[in-house]
Formats: sequence, C-alpha cells, structure tokens
Amino acid sequence: MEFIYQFVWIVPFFPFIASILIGVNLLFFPKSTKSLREIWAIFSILLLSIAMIFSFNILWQQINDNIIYRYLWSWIFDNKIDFKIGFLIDPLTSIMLVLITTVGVLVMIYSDSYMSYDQGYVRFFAYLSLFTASMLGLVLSPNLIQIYIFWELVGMCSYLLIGFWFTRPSAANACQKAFVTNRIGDFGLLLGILGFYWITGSFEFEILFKRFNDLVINHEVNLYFANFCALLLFLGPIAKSAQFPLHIWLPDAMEGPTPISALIHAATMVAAGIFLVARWFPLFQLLPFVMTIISWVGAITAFLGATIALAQTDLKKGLAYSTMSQLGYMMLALGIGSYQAGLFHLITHAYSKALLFLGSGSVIHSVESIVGYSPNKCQNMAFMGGLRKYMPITGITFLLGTFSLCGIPPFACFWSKDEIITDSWLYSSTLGSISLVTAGLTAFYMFRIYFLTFEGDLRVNLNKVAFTYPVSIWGELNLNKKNSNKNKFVLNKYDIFFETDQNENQTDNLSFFSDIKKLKYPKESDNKMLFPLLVLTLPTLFIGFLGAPFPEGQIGSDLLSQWLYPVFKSAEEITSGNWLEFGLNAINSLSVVFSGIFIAFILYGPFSLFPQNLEKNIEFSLEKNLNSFFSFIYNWSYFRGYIDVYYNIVFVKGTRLLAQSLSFFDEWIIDGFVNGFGILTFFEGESIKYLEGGRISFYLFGLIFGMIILLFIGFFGAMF
Amino acid sequence: MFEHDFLALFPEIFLINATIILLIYGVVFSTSKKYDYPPLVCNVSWLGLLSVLITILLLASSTPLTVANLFYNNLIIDHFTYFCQIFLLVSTASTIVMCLGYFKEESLNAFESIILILLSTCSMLFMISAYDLIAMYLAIELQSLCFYVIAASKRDSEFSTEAGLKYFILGAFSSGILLFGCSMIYGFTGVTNFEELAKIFTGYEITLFGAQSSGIFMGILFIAVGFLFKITAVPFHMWAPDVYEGSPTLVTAFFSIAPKISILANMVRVFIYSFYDPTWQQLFFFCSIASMILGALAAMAQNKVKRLLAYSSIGHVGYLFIGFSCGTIEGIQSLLIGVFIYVLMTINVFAIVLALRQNRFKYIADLGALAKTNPILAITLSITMFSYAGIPPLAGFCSKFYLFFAALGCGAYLLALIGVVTSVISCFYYIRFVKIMYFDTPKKWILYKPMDREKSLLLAITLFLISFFFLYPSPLFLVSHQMALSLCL
Repeated sequence: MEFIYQFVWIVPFFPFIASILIGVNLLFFPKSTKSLREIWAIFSILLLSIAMIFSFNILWQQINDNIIYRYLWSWIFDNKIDFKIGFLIDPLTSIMLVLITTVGVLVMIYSDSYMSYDQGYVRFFAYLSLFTASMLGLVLSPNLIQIYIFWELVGMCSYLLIGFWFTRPSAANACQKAFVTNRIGDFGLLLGILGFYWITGSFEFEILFKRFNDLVINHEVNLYFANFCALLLFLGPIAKSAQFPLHIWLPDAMEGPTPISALIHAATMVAAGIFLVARWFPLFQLLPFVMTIISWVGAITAFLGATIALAQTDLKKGLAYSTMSQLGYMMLALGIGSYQAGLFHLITHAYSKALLFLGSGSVIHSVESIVGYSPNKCQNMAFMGGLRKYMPITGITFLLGTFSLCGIPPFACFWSKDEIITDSWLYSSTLGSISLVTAGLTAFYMFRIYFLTFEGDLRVNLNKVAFTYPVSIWGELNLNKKNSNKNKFVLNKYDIFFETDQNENQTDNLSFFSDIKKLKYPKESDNKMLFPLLVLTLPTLFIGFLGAPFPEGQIGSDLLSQWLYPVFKSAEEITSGNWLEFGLNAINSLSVVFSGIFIAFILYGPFSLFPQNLEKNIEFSLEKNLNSFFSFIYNWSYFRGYIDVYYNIVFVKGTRLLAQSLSFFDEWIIDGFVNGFGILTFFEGESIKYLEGGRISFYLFGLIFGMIILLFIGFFGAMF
Repeated sequence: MFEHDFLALFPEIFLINATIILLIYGVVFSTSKKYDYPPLVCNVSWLGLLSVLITILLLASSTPLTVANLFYNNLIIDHFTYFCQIFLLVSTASTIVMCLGYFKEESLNAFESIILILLSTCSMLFMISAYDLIAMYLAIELQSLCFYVIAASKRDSEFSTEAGLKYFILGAFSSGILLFGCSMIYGFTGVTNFEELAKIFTGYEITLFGAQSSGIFMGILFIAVGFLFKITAVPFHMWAPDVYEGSPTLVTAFFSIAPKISILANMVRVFIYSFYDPTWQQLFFFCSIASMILGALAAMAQNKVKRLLAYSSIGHVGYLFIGFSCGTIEGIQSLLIGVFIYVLMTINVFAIVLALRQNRFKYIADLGALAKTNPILAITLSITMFSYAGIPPLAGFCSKFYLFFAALGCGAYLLALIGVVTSVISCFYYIRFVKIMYFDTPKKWILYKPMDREKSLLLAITLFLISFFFLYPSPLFLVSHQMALSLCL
C-alpha cells in the first residue's frame, strides 16, 4: 500500500503542470489561448480533480494504515551539509490535501462562471492552479527550507491574485499591502528557521524536534535564545494567518475576486499559518512562554476580529474580519495545547467559510449589475436586503453557513468551536471568557450580515434617488442606448475603474430614473455557481461529526482526535469524549450564541424594532437610539479599531521620514564625499599631467631624486 | 643533465640564427635592383612569427626539467624559466601577429623592427634564465639597446625620434646605475653568481650603518633602482608616458607586454632568490603604493589613448608589486597570475588600438559611437576595460583578488587597502571608454575599416580567456604554484 505514497508528488505536480502550460501558452500564443479559454479551464479543473481523487485515496490509506511515510531525495550533498527534499505524509498532511483539493476544485468550477466575462479569465486559472500547487507543496514539505520556498510561493500567488484587477488602484494598493505585511512575517520566519538550524543543525522536522527535545531536557540550550527564535518563527504564521499585529492586510485583500477570497483568504492560505504552528507543535510545546504568547495572540485576534466585524458595511470585509476572528480561535486552541481542536476548527471553518464567501460572491455577482460594479457599491450591504426572495438557493446555503459559523448544533463549526471554548475554560478563565464572548459576537455579526443581505426588502429599489446609479460608471455610454439593451450590463469588470465624475451625471441619472418606473431585481446565479454552494453545504452540515464526542463506545466517537493522536506524541491528555460533560458545556456557549442572534434579530431582523427607513442611514438609527458609549464602540468598530490609521502614522509615515532623512544624508554627505573625492583626484591628475614637462634634465633629476627617496626609505626601514 | 650545454640552449640558438638569417635575407633582397627593391616587411614578419613559433615548439618539446645549471653557472633552467620563456615567446608571437597589418597600412617599410623584436626577444630569453650578475647585465643591455632603436624606428616622425632619444639617454643612465650596483656587490662580496650570493646573504643583515658593510646595501639599492626604471615603477616612471606615446603603436604594444614578463622574472630571481631580505621590501612597498596611486590619478586627465595606457600599465606594475613586496610564495604566485592576466588584457587592448588604426585613433574621444559603427569591437573593448577595472567575474578581477589576498595574507593591509581604493579610482577612466563608445554621439562619425583576420583571431582568443578565466583557473594556479616553488625552494 505504500505504492500510492510514492506517487504523492503527483498531487502538487498536476496543478503545477496546468499553471505552467497555461502560462506558457498565454505568453506565446495569447490570442488562441484566450479563444480556447473554456478548454483551459476544463483542463485545469480536470487535473486538479485527479489530484483530489488521489488525495482522497491517500486519506483513506492514512485512516487505514496510520503510518507516517517519508520520501527524501538528496538535493545538495556535501560533507558538511546534507540537504534533502521530498515529501512527508501523515494524518495532518492528508487531511490538508483533501481540504485544499476539494475547495480548490469547487472554487475553480465556481470561478468558471464568476469570471466568465473577465478579460483575465485564463490568467486567473493559471494563478489559481499555481496557488493550489504551491499550497499542496507546502503541506507536503518535510523540512523547513521546502516549507519556506512554498510559503513564499503561496504568498506570491496571493499577491498576484489580490491584485488581479490591478488597474483598480485600491486593488493594487491592497496587494502591495498584503505583500509587504507578509514580508515582515516571512523575514521573521526565515530568521527563526536559521536560528533553529543553528541550535539543532537540521532542517528536518523529526530530527529537529528530537534534538531540540534532548537539548532542552539536558539544559544545553539557551532558553532565551530558543524562545526568541520560536517567536521569530511564529512571526510567519502571525502574518500569514492575519493574527493581531499583522492582521491589517486581510480585509484589504478582499479586493481580489471573490473565489480567491474563498479559496485563499478563507480556506487554505490563511490556514497555512495554523498548519505551520501545528507542524511545529512538538517544538512550541517545550517552550511554555511561546505557547502563552500564541494563545494570547489568538485570543486577542479572535476578539478584535469579532468586534471590528460588528459594524462593517462591506459584505466581504465583514466576512474577512470573521475569518480573522476564527483564525484567532484556532491559534488560541493551539496555544493552549488542544492541538486537535485547533485543527478540527481549521477544517470545519474552511468549508463553512468557503461556502459563505462563495455565497457572498453569488450575491455580489447578481447585485452588481443593479447597484454598480464598484466594490464599495456591489459589496455594500446597505444596498442589499431581501435577496432570499430573488435567489433562494444562495440565501439558504448562506444561512446554513451562518448557522455553522455561529456554532449552532449540529452544524460543523459547533463541534470544533465548542471544543475550543471548553478547552480554553479548562486552561484559563480569562481566555475562556474571551472566547465565550467572542462566540456571542460571532453570532451577532454573522446574523447581522445575513439579515442585512437576505432579509427585509431590497433597499436599492426602495428609494433609488438617494444614490448615484451604476450608469455613471459607464462614462461615455449613451443612456438611452443602454436602456434598450440591458443585457450589456454584464460586461467586462475592467470597466469598474472608469469612475467618472459623478456630479455631472447625477442630474442626468435622476431625471433618467424618474422617467423609468420599471425596477430591476437580482436573479439567482447560474448552475455552475450554485453547484459548489450546494456541494459545500454537505461538509458544512456533516463534517463536524468527524470530531464530535459521541458517547463512549459508539463507533466514530471523536474520530479525529484519536486519529491525529500519533502526530501529537507528547500530549499529556486528550479531552475525553464525555457526552454529558460536553453537553453541559455546550449549553453555556449556546445560550451566549442565541442571545447574540437575538440581539441581531432585534436590531436588523425583518421585523425589527428599529425601522430601517433609509438604507444610507442604516446605522444612524442605532446611534439615535443608543447612548454615546455605544456609538463610540460602533465608531471604533466601523473604523477598524483605528489600527490602520495608527499603522499609517507610525510605520508608513515613519518609514517615509526615515527614508527622506537617509536620502538627504546620502545625497549631500555621502555623494558629496564621493564627488569631492572625484574632483580632488581629477585636479591631482591634471597637476600630474603638467608635471611631465618632457625635458630630459628634469627626468634625470627625478631619477636621482627617487633614488634618494628610496635610500632614505631603506635607511629608515633598516632603523626601525 | 645535458651532454653538451649547447643542447639545452637549442631554442635560443635557433632563434638567434633565424634572426640573423632573416636579417641577411632582408638586407640582400631589399637592396637588390633585380627585384626592384621589394618591401620585405610582410615576408619578414611572417617568417619571424614562424621562427618564434618554432622556438616555442623547441622549448616546449624539452620536458620541464627540475633544474639545470649551464655554462659554469651563468644560466639556469628550471620550471620557472621554462614557463616564463614559453609565455614570453607566446606574447611576442601575438605582438608580431598584431603588427602584420600595421606595416601594410602605415606603409612603414622597415623590416628591421621585426629583426630587432626577435633579437630583443632572444635577449629576454637569456634574461629570464640568467643566473649571474654579469649574464644578467649583458642580457638587459642587449634588450635595452634593441629597444632604443625600435622606439625610434619611425624615422620620419619627430615623436618617434624624440622618444628614442629620451629613452636612450635615460636608459643609459639607469643601465649605468645598475652596473654600478652590480660592481659594488662584486666589490664587497667577491662573487657574482646568484647562488653564491644567496648563500652569503643567508643570515646576513643588510643595513646601512650596521656591523656589515653598507656597500652591499648601496649595491642592492642601485640594482633595484635600475630594475625599477626598466619596469616603469613610480619614482622612475617619467620616461614611460613620453616613450609610449612617441613610439609607433606596435612598439608601444611590444614595450608594454614582453619586457614586463622578462624583467619581472629576473627581478623575482634576484630579489627573492638571491637578496632575500626584509630591507628591500620597504623599497618595493613604497614603489607599489606610489605606482598604484600615480597610475590611477595621472591617467584620469589624459586624453590620448597611448598615454592613458602607459599610465594604466604603471598602475598595473604597482598592483603586481603588491605580490612582489609580500615576498611569500603566495605573493609570487599571485604576481605570476597577475602578470599573465595583465599581458592577456594588454594584448587585447593593443590589438583593438591597432585595429582602429586606419584613421589614426589617437584620442579617446575618437571612439565615440563605436557601439553603433562596430558593435562587436565595442563590446570587446568594454569587456577588456571592465576587466582592467577589476569587475567580477572577469579575469582582471581574479588577478587583483589574488594579489590583495596575498597582501592580506602576509599582513600588508595598507597595500591591499590602497590597492582597492586606487582600483576604484581607476574605474573612472576605464569605464569612460565604455561611456564614450556607447553613450556619446560625436559630431563627426568615424568609420573604421574592418580588421584583418589574424587580429580578429587574437582578439577572440584573448577575449575568451578574459571572460571565462574564472570558470577554470586551476591550470594557471598549478603552473604558477610550481613556478613559485621552484624559485623559492
């Protein structure tokens, strides 16, 4: 049965081939490649599907055999360095493989429809395949160098995909922000890797953990240094998984196409940080200080993300902060030592969040033709509402995803989140209360998003006069002409950035729309987009049972924790699957969750106490009714906790100032020195030129004079 | 080792005979009325090239010996002389190849210059293998006399005659000083043989006012001055720019290539082998620093190509002296590598200068827009200039790297520091060539005729060696290490 393991390299190799082929063809035969776009999409979906089947097979083998398989191939061989590359298969890897390939395939199918009118359709698939390949490679890596290589590749793909619509300035800025923020983490990661190589002399996980364990037990290592290196290493996951100090890139990353947000910024890449911490779990465990840091970073991120998500009006940004909060949960779980709970939540959250993001993509896709293509219109929840009537499948699947994320049984996230909350209560009451409050907040903001988007009435059409109409973005298009053929609405998204000055057109628009009585309503998305949504509801519903703590003795009880056990060698105890205890704990958290839902229902629900008369003033009603303290909190949340502002002041402006002063120093002092030296030498050269008079008597004098100089030098050289 | 000493000297004897036969051939035929006074330059230079090549073959066919003393210890043959002589002959051959087209274009019908080149080559061969002060002086003198004449070989040019005259007067002066030094050594020790001198000076403290005689110190000083003059090290460099500029370009090329090898070989023999003492290291230390600085600074203000190259060669002598003043095996090795690479680059540069000869390539500004008129030549010259400046990974960088490395190895940090600083300064005027070729648009475009095949071959070979030396430098390392070992042990 090890036969199949030998060919595991096929899994990352297939999407890689797809991306390379598409890329090469796009480079050399751009026209024909673009005309055959459907074929390329099917090609890459097919290859990834094969990889998916392969990884299911591997998962099955892993469940049956439960052996860790390692294949290494010597890359750089020297008598000092023996560096190997290869792959490692263990339960963690095989789960991640399945996760990435399934979500990847679904997202590809989805984006075939979502991106169908985009000019960069083929390029999108090339990037997507490359991303999938590098993510799979990251998961399979057996040593730190390989991890680092794929880590960077994943980051690069993320950069490319966030900036996919690079002509839009906000997207260009967002991808740069993501890249620069991630570079900080990557630099820390590299330093950490090198630091641990210095300590243990190996890049290989197993050898490294073993040696480090020995060193710590024998007190042969400087613990401060080890802690420092571990923190540097942790900096990588902090950036990649959008943890507290470096989380700022994730909301901006929503500038990318929505399938990307689903795949990269919800399900896989942001989970890579969690994955890495899980991989390094045996090492971090030896350093209690680092574990504390990890858990606190996770708790802060969870809480911060949840609070900021409370007041976001942008659909995708709300979901992004939710992702950040959930990642914080995972980090918290790892930090307090409940390894399997963290990974369990990683899996359940990946499917649920992918579902939510794809649902939001479906919403955006159908709404953007009505509201406008600019992301601050088509993603603005203020313009939505009542969409469930028009697009029932999307609405219901979104609701299911919301249920799951809020932690309502029996949906997937309930099991994992509840496990985390229970474990954190056991660990420390502070962390436990934070996670509990966060769960309530999660329920609130998720239902707020759901209510605002899918319930009530479509606010776009309620009073259309109040905002500028999408017509403005078409710029030169004739209004009447456009009226005649509305099908043209679904045009290229590249036109989004043609933001013309709205003031001029506004009067036109107003008169135009006062003439027209007929209102447009969003339509349900097509089957290619609905299929992934429906498929994703299955894991959202059922995958939680993998780790559900059924009563003792029943088949399938806490399958996941038992199975992940081999990786988790040095754990002191595993939370026993006590059904009763679990139930009692669950009541606690469920009550908090339901209170959150209740508040959301009161504030935003279809039969809300506070009537929403104006979509623009959707939040103003709150401010009127609540006191200044709440409005302060609201503003804090709305402006993302002011963190971006402070970062802008401290880091961006500080760096600019430093750069300017350095530039001044370079320009005037260093350059001045160099130029002055140059001028000096030039003058010396000129003077020497005139010293050569051409007279023989002078030359002879020089000869004798030089001889006397040498005599003195010899004399003094002999003296001293 | 040899049944007969003459057998060991067969290559030199062949070269002398060939030269004399060529001379007779030239004299007889060029004055014959029957053939209408033919200009024999081409014939003689081809035949001269042939005879040099045969000499190389003859020399190379006798396998490198361990050591052999000839003619009552007057000459020596060992690994050092073997490789130096081959190298000298190869560089002479390439100089002759360079000037094949030159005579034709300049209509300079003086076949004597080839004869004189061959004769001086022969004397340089003896210089390399000299093992006695008298033999050394005789060889140097023969070489110098030939050089005086070649410098003035373009008789109708004022510059050439002026250069020859200047060279003669100053050279005579320095020869006198050299001979004076030799006679002082002989007077105070009673021996002229290098080996016996080495035995005497082992453990002998050479000081001016020490217990031992100051006459020996003065003698060594005078010999050093004589050598420094010949190799154009700084306090005694003054003649070089004038002579290099005034002589015909072919002669300048020859002056800046071949004598550097032979004089350095001889100097190494005398000062490392015979007079090994830290005292004179001070002198060379000073000369090295002064040459590097002057070579870098003075070249900056020059507009004429040949004058600039003269200063550049002065600067390079300074770099080579780094290895010399170290006095270690690594120093000698780096010196030999440095000479090899310097000669390679110089052959390349002068081949280009000669290739651009048609319109009297005299000023640097004449190169303007060469990148457009002759891109291949422009890129060749650029690469060579980068190599001169010491830009990695070209050969010039390797040579400087080993020299500085040797200086650091023996603790001469000042030398290495000044070497680095001056090579940065010298980048200015080397890269100025590139700038003029690629970025300047002159008012008057100069179109150069295509060069002849021999020169292009020479350029191709040297450029290849310069560009790809770094890929496989180990043969040169092995050879130079063996040479340094055979000298020092």
